[in-house]
Amino acid sequence: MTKRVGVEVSIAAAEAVGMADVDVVSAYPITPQTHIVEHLSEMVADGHLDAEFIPVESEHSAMSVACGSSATGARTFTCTSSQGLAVMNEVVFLAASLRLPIVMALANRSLSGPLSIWNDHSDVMSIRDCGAIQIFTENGQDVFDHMIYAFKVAENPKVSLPFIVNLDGFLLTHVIEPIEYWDKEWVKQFLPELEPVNRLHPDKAITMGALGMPNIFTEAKRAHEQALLDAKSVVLDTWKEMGDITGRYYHPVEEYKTEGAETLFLTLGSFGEIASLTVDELQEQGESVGLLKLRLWRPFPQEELLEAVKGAKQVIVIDRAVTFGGVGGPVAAEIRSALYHMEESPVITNYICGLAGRDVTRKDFAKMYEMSKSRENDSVKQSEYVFYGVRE
Amino acid sequence: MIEIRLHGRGGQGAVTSAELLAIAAINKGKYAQAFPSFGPERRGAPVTAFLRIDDDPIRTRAEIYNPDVVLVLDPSILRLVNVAAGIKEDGVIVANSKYSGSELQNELKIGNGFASVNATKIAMEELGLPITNTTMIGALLKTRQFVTVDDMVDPFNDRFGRIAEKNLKTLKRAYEETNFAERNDSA
Amino acid sequence: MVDDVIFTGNHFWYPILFSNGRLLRRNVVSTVKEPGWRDLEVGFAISQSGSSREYKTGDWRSLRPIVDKSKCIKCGICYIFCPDMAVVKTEEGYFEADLYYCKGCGICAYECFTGCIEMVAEEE
Repeated sequence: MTKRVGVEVSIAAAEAVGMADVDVVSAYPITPQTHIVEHLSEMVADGHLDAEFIPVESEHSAMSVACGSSATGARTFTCTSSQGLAVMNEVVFLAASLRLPIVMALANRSLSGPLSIWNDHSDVMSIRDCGAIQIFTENGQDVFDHMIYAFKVAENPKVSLPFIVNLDGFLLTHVIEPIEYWDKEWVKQFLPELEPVNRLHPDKAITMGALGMPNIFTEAKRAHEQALLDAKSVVLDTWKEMGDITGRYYHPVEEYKTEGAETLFLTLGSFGEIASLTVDELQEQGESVGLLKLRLWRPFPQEELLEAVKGAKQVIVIDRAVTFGGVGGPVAAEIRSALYHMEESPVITNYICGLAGRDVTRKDFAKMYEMSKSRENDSVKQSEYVFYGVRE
Repeated sequence: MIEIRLHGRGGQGAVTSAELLAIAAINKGKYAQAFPSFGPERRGAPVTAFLRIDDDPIRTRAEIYNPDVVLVLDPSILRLVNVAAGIKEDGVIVANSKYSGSELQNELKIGNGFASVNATKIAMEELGLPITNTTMIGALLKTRQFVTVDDMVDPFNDRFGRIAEKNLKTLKRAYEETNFAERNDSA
Repeated sequence: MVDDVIFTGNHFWYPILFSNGRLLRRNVVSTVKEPGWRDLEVGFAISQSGSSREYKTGDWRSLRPIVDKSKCIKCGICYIFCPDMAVVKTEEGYFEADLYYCKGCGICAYECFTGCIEMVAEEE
C-alpha cells in the first residue's frame, strides 16, 4: 500500500494520465472538466510530462486530433463534459468505429438547456451507442485507478477501442479527498508499451475510414459489436490483474450488502457511496435492502446483473437523465429489458433525480425506499417512473 | 465525523482553507473531504465551501446541512447570509469580525458558541492583503483542535512556497488573538 | 495491372466496397462470395495498398475521347489535366485514355491545343 495524499480528484486524474506516460493530450477546457486539462497542460509545460499538449479550438477538433494521433500509434488522452461532448459527438462515433484506443475522461454534466454546468448523466447517455467501452467511477481512488487501467484495456490488441471513464462533475472532479497514488513500479509492471493493431506509417500504407457501402456496412457494425462484447473478458481480467497489484478489486456490478435483500437500489457513479449509507441505516432498522452499483455500462454486464438481482423482489433504479417521451430513465429502460426474461423478474421502480447537481442525500434515498416499498404512493403506482423531488 | 461549512466571498480563499485543512488531516492518516459549493466562480460573490474530517472513509458527498463548525471569512457575510442555518446544538461559529464573540451572539441573536478574531486587520498587517483564509484557519484551530498548528506547516509550504512563513505567522497570530464566547441561550 | 483476382485472404476484397456492391475487376465477372463480418479487418481498415486501382470507373462514361493522331503534337496537356490520371502515354509517344478508368468528362478535349480529341457517344 502506498501513502494516501489529499488531492483534488481532477488533479489526481491528470497525474494518473501522466503516470501512464501519455504521448498526446488534445482537449478543450469546459467546466467541470477544466482542472484535469489545465493540470495536464501544466505538467507538459513544466517538463514533468514528455507529451504533446495540443490546445484545440473546439471539442470537435479535440477528438479529431485524438483520432489522428491515436491512428499513428501514439498513446492519446482527451477529456470533456456536456456541451463539449455534444460538439464532439460525431467524432466519438468515428473513433470507436475506427477502433482507436483513445482514453477519454468524461466529467459528467447535464446537457443544456436550461443552461447548466452541474452534474448529471445526460451527456454520457447521449453517446451510449457510440461503441466505446464506458464505465462509471464512484470516488477519487476509483478515478485514479481507472485512468491508468483504461489505457491497458483500450490498447489490448483483442480490444482496440476507445475507453470512456465517467466521473461525476463537481461531486468528484472538484473534491479534495485522500487518494493512494500508484508506485511508479506498479505502472511499469501493469501498463506495457502501446502496440497498436493498426497504425498510419509511411512504411506500410493503410486506409482508415473507408466508405462502407450498403453491402458491407452491416458486417462492419456486426464486427464492431463483437469487439465490444469480446472486450468484456479483457475488462474483467484486467481488473483482476490491477487488483493483484493495488489490492483494490473492481467488478462490473458492485454489490453492497445484497445478501438476501428483497429490495435493491441500483446506482451509477458517485451516488453509490451516498446510497450505501442509506442501506446501512435501513438495515439497522431491520429493512431488507441492498445496493447494486453498476460500474460497467458498455459492454453491458448482463450475466452479472442477472446473478446480482436473483431473489430480489424489487429494484429501485436511480436515473440521472431523462429519456423524453420514453419508458423511464435510460438506465431503468435498460435494466427492465435486461431482466425481462428472468423467471421471477423483480419489479423495477424508477426515480429520476439529481438532475443538474440537485443534492440527493441519504434521507432522499430513504424516502425513495419508503415510497417504493409500499408502492402505495400514487405517482409510483400510476406511472413507470417518477421525477423524485420535483415541485408541483 | 466533524463537518465544517465555510462562508466567504469568491476569491478570499474559502476553498483553499478547506483544502489545506483537509490535506493536513489526510497527512495525519485521517480521512477528509473538501469541496466548494459547486458552480461558476464569481469573485466577490458570497460563496460556501465544505469540509469533512473523520477517522473512517467518508462516503457522503452531499452538501453539509448540519455543520459542527461554521467558519466565516468575511465580516459582511454575517449580515448577508444566515450563517447559523442548520448548525448543530453544540456547533460553533468562528467569524472574522472586529466585534467579540459575545457581541456577535447578541447582535445576530445566535445562541451557539461564537469565536471571533479581527482577521482582516491581521491579514493587512502581516500579509498586506485582505485575504483571510490562512488567518481564519488559526481562529478555527483555536476553537476545534482536529489538527494542530504544526500540522499546517507542510500543506502551507506546498501551497505557498516562499510566502508560507508569512502565512504561518498570520495563522499563529490569529490563533493567539481569537476570543470565544460559550453557548448563550439567552442570546 | 492485375488481369485477374485471386482471393487469398482478408486483404483482397476491400475494393469490392468501391464497386457498387458488385465484384468488378478487369476481365472478371465474378461470383465469389462476399465477405462476412468475421473477414473484416479491425476498424474496417484496408491494409492492401493501392486497391483503388481495382475500381472501375470506366462504366460511368457516356462519351468516349477519340484522338486524331494526325493532329496530335504529343504535348501531353491531356495527360496533365486528366483528373483521374486515366491518360497514359503509348509506345509511339501519343496519349490515350485508359478506358477502364476514363469517366468521359471531356476535360482533355476541352484543354487540347490542337483540337485532336473528340468526345464521341459510347453508342457510336
